[in-house]
Formats: sequence, C-alpha cells, structure tokens
Amino acid sequence: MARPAQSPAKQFDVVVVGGGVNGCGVARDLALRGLRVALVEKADLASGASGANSGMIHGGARYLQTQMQVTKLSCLDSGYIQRIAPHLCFRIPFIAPVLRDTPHAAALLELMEVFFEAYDVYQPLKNGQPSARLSREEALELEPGLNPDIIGAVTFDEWGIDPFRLCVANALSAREAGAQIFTYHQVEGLLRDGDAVCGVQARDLVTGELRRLEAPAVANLGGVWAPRLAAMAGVEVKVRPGKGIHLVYDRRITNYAIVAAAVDKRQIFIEPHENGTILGTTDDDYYGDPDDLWATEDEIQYLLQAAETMFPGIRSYRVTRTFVGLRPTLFEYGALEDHLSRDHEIYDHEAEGAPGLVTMLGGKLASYRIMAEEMGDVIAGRLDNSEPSSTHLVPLPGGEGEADLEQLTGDHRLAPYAASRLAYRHGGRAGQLLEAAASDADLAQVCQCEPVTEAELRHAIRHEGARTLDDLRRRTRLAMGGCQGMRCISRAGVILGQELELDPLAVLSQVLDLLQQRHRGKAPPLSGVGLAQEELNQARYFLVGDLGRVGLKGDACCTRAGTGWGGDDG
Amino acid sequence: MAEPRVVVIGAGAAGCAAALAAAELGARVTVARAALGATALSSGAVDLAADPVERPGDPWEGRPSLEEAYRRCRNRGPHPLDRAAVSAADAHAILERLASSLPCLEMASLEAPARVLPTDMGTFKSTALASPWATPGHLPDLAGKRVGVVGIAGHPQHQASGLVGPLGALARRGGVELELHALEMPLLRLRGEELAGAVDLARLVERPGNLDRICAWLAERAADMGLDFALLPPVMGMERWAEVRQRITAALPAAELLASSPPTVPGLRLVAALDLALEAAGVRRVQGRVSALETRAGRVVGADLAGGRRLEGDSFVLATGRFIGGGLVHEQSTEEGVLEAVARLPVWIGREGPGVRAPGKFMDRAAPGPHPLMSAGLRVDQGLRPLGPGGQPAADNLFAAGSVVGGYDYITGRDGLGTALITGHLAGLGAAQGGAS
Repeated sequence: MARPAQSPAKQFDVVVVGGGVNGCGVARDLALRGLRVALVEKADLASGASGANSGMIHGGARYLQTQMQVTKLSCLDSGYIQRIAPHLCFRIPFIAPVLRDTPHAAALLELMEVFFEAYDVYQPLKNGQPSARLSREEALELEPGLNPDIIGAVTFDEWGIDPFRLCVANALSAREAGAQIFTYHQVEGLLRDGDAVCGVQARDLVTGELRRLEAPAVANLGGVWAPRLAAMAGVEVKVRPGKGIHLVYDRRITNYAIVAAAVDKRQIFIEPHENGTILGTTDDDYYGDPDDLWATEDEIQYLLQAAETMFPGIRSYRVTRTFVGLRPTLFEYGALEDHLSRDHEIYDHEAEGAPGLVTMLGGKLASYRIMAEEMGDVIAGRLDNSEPSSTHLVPLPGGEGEADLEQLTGDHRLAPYAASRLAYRHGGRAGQLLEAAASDADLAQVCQCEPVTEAELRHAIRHEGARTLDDLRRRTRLAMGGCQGMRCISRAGVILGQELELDPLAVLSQVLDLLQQRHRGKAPPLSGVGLAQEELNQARYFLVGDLGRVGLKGDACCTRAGTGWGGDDG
Repeated sequence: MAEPRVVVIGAGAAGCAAALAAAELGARVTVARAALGATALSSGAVDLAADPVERPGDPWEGRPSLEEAYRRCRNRGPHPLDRAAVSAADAHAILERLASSLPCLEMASLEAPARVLPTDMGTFKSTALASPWATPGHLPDLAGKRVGVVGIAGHPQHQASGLVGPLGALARRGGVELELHALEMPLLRLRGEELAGAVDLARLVERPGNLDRICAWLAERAADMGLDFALLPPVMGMERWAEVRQRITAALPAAELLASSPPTVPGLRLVAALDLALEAAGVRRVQGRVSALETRAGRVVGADLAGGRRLEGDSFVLATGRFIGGGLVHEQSTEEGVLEAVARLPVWIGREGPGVRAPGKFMDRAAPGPHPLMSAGLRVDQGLRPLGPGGQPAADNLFAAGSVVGGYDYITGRDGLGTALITGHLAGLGAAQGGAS
C-alpha cells in the first residue's frame, strides 16, 4: 500500500500527542529530521509520569540477568544523554549493603560483587566508575547512617537528571528545529480522511478555542492517557497503569544512594537527588482517575519500613512531600506488577483500520531517547523521510557549552550557589539568560531554597512556555524546597501576572492553585517538624493573606491567550 | 495566706496573658520561655472571630458586628471558648483590658464589624485588634483618598507594583473604589542586601539618616502626586516604631500593611510589648524549655527546666503553643504519633480521640482547607484544665491556654491570637485562684 507522502497541503507532517519525555523526545527527533511537527499536550510538559519518577538515567543493571543487550543499549544511551545534556546529568554513586540476617548473606554478597563486575563491562559506555566491594567498616565509614548489622556492600554508579528540565530541553530543541508546541491543548477528536487519520482537533484550554492541526501522521505518546486517543480512532491499546510514589526530603540525608529491600523483596532507593533526597518507589496497579493521584498511608509506610532496614534513622528526617506518577506499563494479564516488562512497544494502527496513527507505550525515562529514535524511524518511514535520527549527536539546549561560573558570579554578581544551580538548569545558556535581565532587581532571589532569580522566572515565561505557577515550579524548582513556597509563591505570582498581563485576581487565583497543588503532595506525609512548617505556611496564606475567603475559583481565566511558546509561533 | 505561686510555661500571647491575669490577682508569677513562637511569627494583629457565614466576595458593607460574628462562631464543637462559655462581652472586655497595657494593640468596637486591613500579599484581612501603625489602613477609611502603596526598590519581598492590582480589585469587589498608586522607595541601599530580612530592614529604617530621607521622600511624593495617604511595608521601625510612626505621619498620613511573611516585625513588636508588660507587672521571666512536670497526689508540684533547674509552684499554666511553638511534637521515629511535649497529656486530632496516633491517616483531600492536624491539641474542661487519659482533668492545679489546646484551627477559623489571649487570661485567673485554695 502506498504511504502518504509528505503533504505540503497540510500544515504539519506529524502531530505528536503528549508532552511527557516521550512526546517531547519524539517531537525533537522528527523535527531534527526536517519534518514539520506539532506537539499537543493537555496540561504542561512533564506534568505526568515524566515529572514523577526517580530522575535517573540508569544503565538497566537489572536486565543483566535476562536481557544483556538491553543493559548494553541502556548504558550506551545513558552515555549519549550525558553527551547531549552534560549540564543536566549528575553522578549518583550507589551503595548496596547486605544485612547479616539475610539468608545466605555471604554468598549473596559474593554474587552481587560478580553481578556488578559484569555491569562494569558497560560502565565505560556511560562514563561510570567501576564497582567496588566494601567491607562492613568501609561501608560504615562512607555512609555512617547505615544499619551496622551489615556484612559488607557493593557500590555501583548511576546518573541522575532533572526530568522536568529534560522534557523542557527536548521541547525547546524541537521548537528550535521548527516544531510548534501547544501546551494546555486537549485533543477532542481525530481528523479523518476516510479511514486515514490526518490530524487532531484540540481545544485551547485557556481561550476555549478549537484548533485544527492537520498532518498525515499522528503519534500517540499519551502515556497512561494513550488509550483515550486510540479509542478516538476506534482502536484499542492497553496499558496497565503502575502507580509509583516517592517521598521527598528537605535536604541530602545520605552520601550515597542506598539500595534496600521492601517487605515484598522489591528494591527501593534512598537517593540523593538535586539538592534534596528522594525515597522510592512503589509499583502497584492503579484503577482510579489518572488525573487525581494521591499517595496513601500504606505506600508511605511501605517505603519507610523498607528504607529503615538499611538506614535506621530515616524517620527522624523531614519529609516535605510525596509525588505520584503512573507508569504506562505494557499490559499483561496476571503477572505481578514488579515482573511486568519495562520494555516498550510501537503499534502502527494501520492494520486495525486507522492508518496514520502510531502509538508507543511502555519504556522508562532512561531510554526515552532511543525509544524516540525508534518511533521516529517508524513515522519518518511512513512519510518517506529518510533522514537518520540525530538526537544522540545534536546537543540539547544548554548542552552546547559550559556555563561560565565566573561570569555568573562576577559580571552578574549572582551568589555562587545560585549561579551553580542556574548553570545546572541552563548549562551554556545561563549567561545569556542573565544578560536579558533588565535591572539588578531581576537578579533578586525570589525562591531562596532552590534558589531561583526573578530573571530565571521571566525567562521561563517568555521562552519556555510557562503559563502557570506550577509550570514555573517544574521549570525552576520554585517552591520545591524545604519551606515549600512559604515566601516565594506570591512574588512569583506577581511576576507571572506582569509577564502575561493577568488580571490581578487571576494572579491570586494562581497562588491558590499552586498552594492546592502543593497540598496534594504535602498532606499525605505530614509529620514531624514538617507540621510546624505547615502551620507557618497555612498561617501566612490563609490566616494573614486570607486567601481562603477571597473567592477566586471560577474567576477570569488564569492565563493569556496564545500558546506561550514565544507568541503565536508563526 | 501566702500569695499563690503560679508558673506559666510559654511566653507567647497565651502565656503572657495568663501571667498578667495571675499577677493582677496578686499571684507571684514565673514565666518560662523557651524561644520565640507563633506569636512572634504572627502578623501582630489579633483576631477574635470571623463570621462563619460570610462568603467570598461579599461586600465589606453590611458585614455583621464583631459581637454578632463572635456569636455565630460559638457552639462550634470543642472550641475552648465554648468549653469555657466565654460571652462576647467578656471576650471583648478581656481583650480591651490587655490592649490598654499594650501600645501595639488597638481594640475595635464590639458594635462595629471587624477592621478590614490591607496585607503585604495584596489581600485584605479582617481583624479585631491591630497596631495603631496598621489600623489607619482600614479599607472604608481609604475610600476617596489618593493612596500611595509603597514598596522597597529592589527587594523581592516588598514590591508595591504587585500589590496595587489585587488590593484595588478586591476592594472593588467588596464595593469600595480605591485610588492606588505604586511607589518603590529607593532610599534603602540594598546592594548586597537583597536578602535582608524584615528585621534588618526595620533597623535600617530606624537609622536617623534613613528616617529623615524616608520622610523627605514621602513628603515629596505626596506633593508631586497629591497623595493623601501611604500604605507602607510592615518594616517601619523595630523598638522605636512609635517614634518612626510619628515622624512619618507628620510627613504624610500612613499605615503599615499587615505582615504575612515570617519573620514579621509587627509580631516581634507584639512579643516585645508583652514582655514589657510582664516586667511592669513584676512577673519573673526565666529562659529555658520545660521538659517535664512532676505530679504528686493529683497536683503538679514542679516543672523541670533543661539543665536540672526546677520551677515550683502552687499552680501551672501550659501555654506552649501548637507545632510552631513546640507544644505538640511528633516524633516520627516512635509509634506514638502526636504528643503534648511537656506533660505527655493526650492529644486529640480532628474528631478522633486520643487513642488514634499516626498523623498520616488524617490526610485531608479537601485541599487546602482545614486539616485535622491543624486543630490538634489538648481538650480542656470549662475551667481550662486539660483532660487526662480518663477524660477527667489531669491535675487540679494545671491549666492550659492558647493553641496547645486543640479543637480549633486558628488559621482557617481565623480567630488568630484572640483565642490565645482570652484563654490565657482565663487560665491565669484560674491558676491564681486554684493555687490559693
């Protein structure tokens, strides 16, 4: 059957649906091949599972026993991601101790050493350090908080990443290659020409306007929402949503990431991540509303109990919040959640009577690039485009060069810590961002936990499509620190209001929205000294600010018209 | 008969009110203070009652009187003011009496609606008592004036430009048209001091040269723009705030905004004023955290301070606060859940009794309204004696006041420090009398 050729009559060659890491990755892959791409996302980039994971570009050590090729490809791809986005990657050394009372403890430790020696073969691909066997004393010296009842440990090496920035960087790269990005656009239907899927109809959730985006190919990367889009074409794809929660701590509480076993023998990690610590994760079938996720007490206790077997003091540290995501795991009947494949599948729905629609499901953050390349091959093939993928060679925005820290602290007089965090998020483009700052006031720190300057917030609104305070949080980590937005939220609201020319009450409404969004994560694990912080935050916004009674819900829409990606994108 | 000895644990609003009341009855009073707590972090304004039937966006005109709002708030569950059956008139009398000895609190009339004061978040808050530095900002009094909203140039926490819009819009929605102009005061040199906190700013303002320049700048703006009034960031003076106020208002009538973001200067001023009042009343103040109470034959006989010191007395008042103050603690590393920090008395959370411990199960999805943990605390009898595990007063001579007492969420209930001052006063009276018997 003849493939539809690139059609100049249509506005786009491909509509990519889904603004998670896979959607952004595929949009980038196709845009770099010279195709005209539209990316449609019903909320913000990385607002689903792509922003609620362990934030690791790991090498897939667990596949070593069954699928050695998967481990090799994972490690190779981890190396590629470090090459295209060196600024976003940070080393996370892991320590996997063995408890004395583990059955066959000594033999297990030997096995683990052999296992990680096998993994070492692939470490050079991802610039990892080789593993090391540690005696009990060595392990306790490196990580004094470990349970002393261990017989030894093995170390290995992985890479962490800011998953929000990874998505944004992919979207920005796609945009620089000509893609158009439509966040806060809900797909309401598919355009059909006979059977052929030839675009989508998407509602601009800000203006209410309906937009027709025509293209001979539609790529479905909706994650757990992918079945809904497929259903619009009359085809069925099945996911098995796997809920995973993490606990977030207000600071780094360990030197190493620590591997521990949960009550069901699943592995969980205490992981130093950015300027905090995350503890995760769970993996449970989920049957509820994917847009209404909450951590439960059982899930929190599951993680704490697992973590305290290796790190007994875990409960004395301050949990600031939880975050929850749904893995778009490939459907399989009967298997236990943890035994489900982390592999991915590409489904071309032509045979089912919906030519033009292609779905990709499954996978994991660490392999997003290679998955996007595979999906790109399928779609480019459909469109008779023979350009090879170049996503492993072309740097992501910010990855072209290194930030000049001396310039940031010297010329721009940024505090050293603020400079290093800015450089982390923006790489070689950090200086450029500050040059746009109109005055000294723009360099003031709005969020002191992270820290985030006013200039960075304005940049995220002007150039990274941030429409809401929650979007600013994802792009800059505003309000994600120890105080959870006690001071910064109202000021950031004012900045958002200025940039988007919002109605003043809409600004307060944005503040309330972010507080409610934060509450979702904060309420379930509320405990310990976090209770005092919560009392303080609530007193600020609801006793003094009296935001509870200003009655903002249902007010004028919160954001200005336009797609937010630098005006109307031509 | 010897004067009764009263020991008050905690030196926030509740503890100080208790100490003043007991001293007035002739007791020898000692206050143990551990650290600054929620009073110091407060806006400095004191709320008595917020009309529970008021709806968002209701006009400011036609709101109920403070007395009516108070009446509507009562008989609402285990609130300590209901337990102690405090009438509106009594509540008012207690607050008025306290305000008369505290120069930073000005009582509102019981017959009129609560004051509506602008905040540094760009919103309005209704409140019963506030500093004379804030009360001239009462919303209806601003109508028809040309008002300058003043920020501090270059300081992210104090930018007037973001306040004018929401203040104007909220006032309009409530039926009041305001004429507001944003001004950023360029006088405080902030280079390298962008992170200067509120207290640093307040001290900068007090420096003689700075104060002169602020007054001159305000007078000049007033002349340029025809301003009648200025709303100022809540950092206008620390210890010498009254003098600063006098100087500034001589240049241009003005009021401070209410402070939302801790640490707050007005909160610290309130604590300082309470401390001066204690000193004037001859109350002995001891620095230290009380770690335990000793009970003998159903009576508390001593309070142990860190470092082996001990305070003995005839009666005791717990005024240790909620989570901020440290009156309630939650040790995640134990199975015990939320505990009362000093006497290990049972804590009620939400509607659950003291047997329910793990706080996590109280998660509330009706975000971010009242969270059951935010009204956690002791239960008291009508004499403000905290209840022990059996539901009876834990000791004859032990009283509790302020937010260590649960059953009310002072945040979403918006009865701020009022409940703390009133229960403190009553607990202090009870302690002075109970100790004498």
